[in-house]
Amino acid sequence: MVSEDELANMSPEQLQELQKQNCIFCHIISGKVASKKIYEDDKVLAILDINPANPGHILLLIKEHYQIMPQIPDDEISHIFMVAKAISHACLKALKAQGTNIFIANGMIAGQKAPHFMLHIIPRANVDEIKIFDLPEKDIPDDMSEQINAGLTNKINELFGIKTEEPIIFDKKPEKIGSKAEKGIDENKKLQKKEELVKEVNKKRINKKKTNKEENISIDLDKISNFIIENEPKK
Amino acid sequence: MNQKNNCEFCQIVNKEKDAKKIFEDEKALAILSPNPCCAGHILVMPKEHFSIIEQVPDYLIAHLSKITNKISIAIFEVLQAKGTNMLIQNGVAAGQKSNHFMIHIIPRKENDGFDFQWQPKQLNEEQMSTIELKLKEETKGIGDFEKEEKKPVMLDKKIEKIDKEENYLVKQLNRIP
Repeated sequence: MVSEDELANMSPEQLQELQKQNCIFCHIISGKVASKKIYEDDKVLAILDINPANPGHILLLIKEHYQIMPQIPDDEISHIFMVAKAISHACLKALKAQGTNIFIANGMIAGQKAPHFMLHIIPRANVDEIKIFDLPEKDIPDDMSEQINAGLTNKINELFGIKTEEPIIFDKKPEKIGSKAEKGIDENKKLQKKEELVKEVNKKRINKKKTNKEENISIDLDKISNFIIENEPKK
Repeated sequence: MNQKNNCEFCQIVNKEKDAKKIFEDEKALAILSPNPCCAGHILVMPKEHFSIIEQVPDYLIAHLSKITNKISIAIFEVLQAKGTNMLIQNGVAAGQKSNHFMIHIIPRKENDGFDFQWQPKQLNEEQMSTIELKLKEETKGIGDFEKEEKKPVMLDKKIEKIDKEENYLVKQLNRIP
């Protein structure tokens, strides 16, 4: 159908268009492919999964074509979760389920099978013998989780636009280490060091922002092509 | 009340118990799981105690989902994850272990030992149709989502404004010789 060279030369918009044409769930949403519709509004569509984990397994689709969650704007994310809550409630009432699992797979490695973002709602019963949603427990080394904690907190603060006041930490450190006498002698040197540190941190911040943007684009393109290559042999 | 007092996560919210916090605002809290299933396993929860998703108000769900999305972006970039799984266990039958509602975020990498694949169950056309009809009946009412009551905030702002106006007037009075 489309050669790899052609794929490489396509603009992101063209690639998305091509994906929409190949996407089975976009066909379901437009009505070209039949499905058992449970709920529909202007943003989302809920259908019954034809390969259900349990009777009543529902796929909640966003009508717009998105592959993964980070691409979806906030208002659509919050809408799909509110609908998921209502449908979960419907499962409890209509199917007399004893619980529900709401599940999202983001990326092929996470078990996503189609390049269209969806949310699974699976009614559960005590005796249904589905064990995949019982999470195991593992021992994670403390220093490792501390590292993760620091890294994620910084990034999330950046995403939410919360400013962290790092210079304060630099001011505190010398006081703890040096005595008062040392301070008088080395004050100039320490001040210089401080300035250098602040400069370095600022440089790193700027570099980080740049690289993040570049990474974003490259990750998306890789995924787009991966999905298409994966999809083609099936057809 | 008993449920709240014994709840491990309410204790974390109230700072009676330590946890590695990732994000916090007035309504929500995100922490590294105290019982992780992998490195970087994150829990996003409302600060108020709810057992299941049906009890959580719509606007709070919306708020939590936005935070979840932002955290999943951060996971992709910081932990170099190749994918993420989000999971809500709603009810003991669904694997829920704590009675505080939460959203699990699980970073995924190649060969990490997780398998969220289910064995498809075979249902005949008739069974599918009855499920469809039953569910459709219950989803008719979906659409009116609860919005957060913003009245208290409005009142606070008005009071501030009045205060400022009064101060302004008082100042003006002082200026008159």
